[in-house]
Amino acid sequence: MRKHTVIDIIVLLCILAAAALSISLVGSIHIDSSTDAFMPQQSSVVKINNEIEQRFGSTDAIVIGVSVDEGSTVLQPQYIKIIEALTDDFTSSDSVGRVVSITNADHIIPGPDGMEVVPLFDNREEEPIESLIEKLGQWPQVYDGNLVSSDRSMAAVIVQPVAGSPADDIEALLNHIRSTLKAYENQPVRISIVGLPVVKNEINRSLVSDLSVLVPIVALIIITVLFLSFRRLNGVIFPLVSLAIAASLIIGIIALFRITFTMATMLVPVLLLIVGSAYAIHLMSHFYEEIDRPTGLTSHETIKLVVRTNVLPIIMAGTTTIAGFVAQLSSPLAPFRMFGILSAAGVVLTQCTALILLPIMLRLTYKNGIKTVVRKPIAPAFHPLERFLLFCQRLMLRHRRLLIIIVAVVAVLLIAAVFNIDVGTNMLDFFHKDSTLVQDTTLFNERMGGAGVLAVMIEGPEHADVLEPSFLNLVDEFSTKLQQHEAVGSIQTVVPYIKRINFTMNWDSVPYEKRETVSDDVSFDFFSLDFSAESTDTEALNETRAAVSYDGMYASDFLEIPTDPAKYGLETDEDLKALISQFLVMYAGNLSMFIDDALEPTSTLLTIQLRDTSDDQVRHIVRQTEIYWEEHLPDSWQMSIGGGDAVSLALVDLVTRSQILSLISALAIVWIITSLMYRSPIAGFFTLVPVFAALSGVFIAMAAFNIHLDIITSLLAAIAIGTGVDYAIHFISACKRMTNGEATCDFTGIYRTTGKAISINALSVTLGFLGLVFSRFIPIQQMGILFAVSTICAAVASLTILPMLISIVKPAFLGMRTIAEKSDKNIPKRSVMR
Amino acid sequence: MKRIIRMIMVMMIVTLPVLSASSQSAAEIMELVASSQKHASSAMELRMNLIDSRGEVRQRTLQTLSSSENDVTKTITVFLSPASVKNTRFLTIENDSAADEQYIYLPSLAKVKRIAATERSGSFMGSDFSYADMASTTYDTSEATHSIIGTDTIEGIDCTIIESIPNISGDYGKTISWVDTERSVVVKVEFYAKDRSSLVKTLVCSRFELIDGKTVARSMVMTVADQSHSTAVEIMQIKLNIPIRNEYFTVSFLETGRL
Repeated sequence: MRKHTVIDIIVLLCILAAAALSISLVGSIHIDSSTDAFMPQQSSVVKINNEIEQRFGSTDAIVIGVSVDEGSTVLQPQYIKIIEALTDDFTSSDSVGRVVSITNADHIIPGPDGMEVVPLFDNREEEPIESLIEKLGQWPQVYDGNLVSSDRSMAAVIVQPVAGSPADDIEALLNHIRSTLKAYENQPVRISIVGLPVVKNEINRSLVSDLSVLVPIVALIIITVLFLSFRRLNGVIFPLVSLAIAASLIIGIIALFRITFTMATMLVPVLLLIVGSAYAIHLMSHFYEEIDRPTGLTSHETIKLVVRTNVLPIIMAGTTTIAGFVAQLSSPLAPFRMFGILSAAGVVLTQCTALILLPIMLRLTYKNGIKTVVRKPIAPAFHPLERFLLFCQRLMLRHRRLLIIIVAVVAVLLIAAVFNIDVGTNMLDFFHKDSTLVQDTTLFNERMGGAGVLAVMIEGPEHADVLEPSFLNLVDEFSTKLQQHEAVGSIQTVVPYIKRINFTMNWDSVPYEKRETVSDDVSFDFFSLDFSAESTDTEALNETRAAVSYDGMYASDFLEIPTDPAKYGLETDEDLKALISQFLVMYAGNLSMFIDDALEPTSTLLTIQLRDTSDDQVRHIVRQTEIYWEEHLPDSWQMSIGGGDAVSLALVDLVTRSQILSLISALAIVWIITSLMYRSPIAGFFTLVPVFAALSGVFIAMAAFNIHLDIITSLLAAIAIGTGVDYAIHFISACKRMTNGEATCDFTGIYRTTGKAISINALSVTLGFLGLVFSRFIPIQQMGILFAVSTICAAVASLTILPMLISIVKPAFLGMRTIAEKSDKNIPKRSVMR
Repeated sequence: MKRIIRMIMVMMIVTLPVLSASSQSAAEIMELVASSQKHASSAMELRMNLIDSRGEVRQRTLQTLSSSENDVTKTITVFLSPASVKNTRFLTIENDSAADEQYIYLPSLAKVKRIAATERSGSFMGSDFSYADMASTTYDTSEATHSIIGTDTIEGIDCTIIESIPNISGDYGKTISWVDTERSVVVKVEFYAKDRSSLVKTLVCSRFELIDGKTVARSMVMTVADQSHSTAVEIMQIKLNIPIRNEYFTVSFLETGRL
């Protein structure tokens, strides 16, 4: 065995061992496919959300809806039994902070002598269902849309996880809830499960399950295309092995450095497949081109020639691609920055595998020389690839006007598209309309208050300021106004509770009646008393209290926020504030979701339930909320908005900003590097031609297919730049090579080698990723379509617009002068290949 | 309010047992701790400091009178601060053989009202003490399985560490108590979630004093597991087993503040 063969085997074994080690670490990768991973922890909305969670508990609830057909009612014994069983079961589950439903909620009623807090549903009553129906009707502000639909066809079991529970605990809780709900599948009742934690968890499950099915499909498609293109087994195996090893190593890096696998970093292996296959295919294409013609070179010499010919274009293409990804470091979103770093590292790895591993495999395979295999040739005129390349070449040289018109039309479409792309990361839109999750949420939004949540926290400068009657009136007015918004289902605040407690405590009062405050001057101190005094037999309750019906003469006058001190026999607003504080003494333990202190709260929370969580609607509601409180709150007060949908909205804004920043940075960096490489700023612009084509394709497709610019699609621009610039550099390098130092450029030769490689690469990648449209998960479908569009546009532009511009401009950096015309005359009539 | 008082009693007052703990089983030790909480009457002034994640402190001060006789426990509680609830008074009458009664006097309303509240959950006055905390430390042998899991020394006090797993899981799946083996005083309690492995909060008792023949922890601090907030309770004044006139536990006294 010759010395370099031994070295080749050792290097190959080392690489394979490293890849195997990397793959063994895959189980330790932490996956977080939620959008939470994208929000910077220092962003104001995240801080607000954390603050809200600390003060009031989690606002992201898991809601189980129990419903029957419209026109029917869930307030029947058999359904109540289900709701009760679910409530009891989930109450004793881990990671659950609170569970509320119509079967365990408290109800406030005015009793004969005061306030009574009774169970909303009490089995011990003679007619519990009738009583429940009556109580629900007594307090619709609190129950309707929250615990039961106003038409009584749906009831909710609200499961509030412990604030700050890790994702694993939430997943375990959801799994427990799902398995519990399975027992009710055969019941004559529909049980749905909605809420932001459910959506996030469903994304996790869908991504993992879908990718595990789709990756083999995509790989199979790429294998088929490679085989049909090269018609050699090695032409399939070598690029695939090379790609698999690069992908394994990058997974090893992710595991080793404990990098969280987010929706952004999930795209890295996909990206490697695109970029890496380009490098491998270029090498293999050139290799087969060389061995299929009589050159008189040995196998080693041929491999050496192929590597030498391709090393510069591959390094140049890789460098610009890396530069494009490094531009992601300008993003304010950490997962995008990590995506940039990993992609750049991945490109380096694919370069290494293409330039080191592939030649090793070729040398080991052909160490005894290359046997020419006589294959049945396909008539060139009928070879689809050849026909395509011929078409491109003709279009480029003979139909330039048509090409220019097409470019102009695309430019117009691009401008129109850019202004028509919807921006948004509504996670529910990731799922198909007929999916269970979307149907459950739609049903819940139609019948109940809505599954979306905005949390408005208002903080006063002093303790108990949020109990000022004037402020509580503002909260009431705000709720009434915002309730008119079409996207708002219901608004929960402390106000209905204060009104009801006021009513129960004053139903027997007479407005404006002077009250005797016998003990106002009493200063209590039990320790000043004489405990040694004789005890008498006085009965504890020595008064017979009159039994009065609580629908007193003025009862309805007190179903209000106390705002007029005189009406309550008091003198000042401060007295009223103290009265409200005293009301809270009786019930504050149950109001922790609305006030941050049981007696003298500093802040209060207004929870807005949303039926429509589209960005436009959420943005509008947020704006309305800001305007209202800016107008009405004194300067020393603070209003802040949190909740799951506020975080999503902030993410949309960050994604948009991130996209614009990274796009401009990537284009600038790619232009600078290619300009330096070719020592010509004009060359920089030439390399951007396929890039612009790919970007145009992506943006036009997004507008045409109504694909939102979201956290996944915003990264496609970076990938489009990577693909486009790769094709451009390979083509320009081939042009430079084919000039041979003279003022000539053999386009026919370029199409036969580089053109063919670009076509094969584009075809395999496009078909491969079109396989993703079979996913049941919309972002993956969209990713497949946009990848395909981007690749086709970049490839077609590299084979038409780019050579047309080269032949028209005859750029000095290629040393061209009159070659275009000369080539035109040499176009073969039927074939450009072999 | 009945539970408030019961909680205070449970958490703060322990008797000095006659028996040595060394030869006792876990169940016997916990039984002693529970039985030592019973007393005929008491008067207490408590200061409660609620410390939130921002370090902000909210103070509540209250006084209580309590008397137990013939399975009936009567308690009157008066809020001294904050100012907005000053002189708000509660009267609670717990009767083992009848429904409990609660009355409240709101000074701003100048009326006594009867309250019927279920008090199923929630914290006591916004503090880190819940009603369930009280239940967790008073598991008797029929309510939980107790076992000695070790010994420890806290602030120089030799303690027996007792793990209590409730027969019916309530708010907690497990508690671990550090019991002063000399006096059967609870020195520290850890409260665990239903999974029995996640710490929820920790209670630490200190400043033990012998008052009227009973050992009393004059200071208690309950801290949640992530240290984000805590509640410190101090007994400012205390008298145990004193004669208290029945007139204090009347609606009339509640309304007027006078006998």
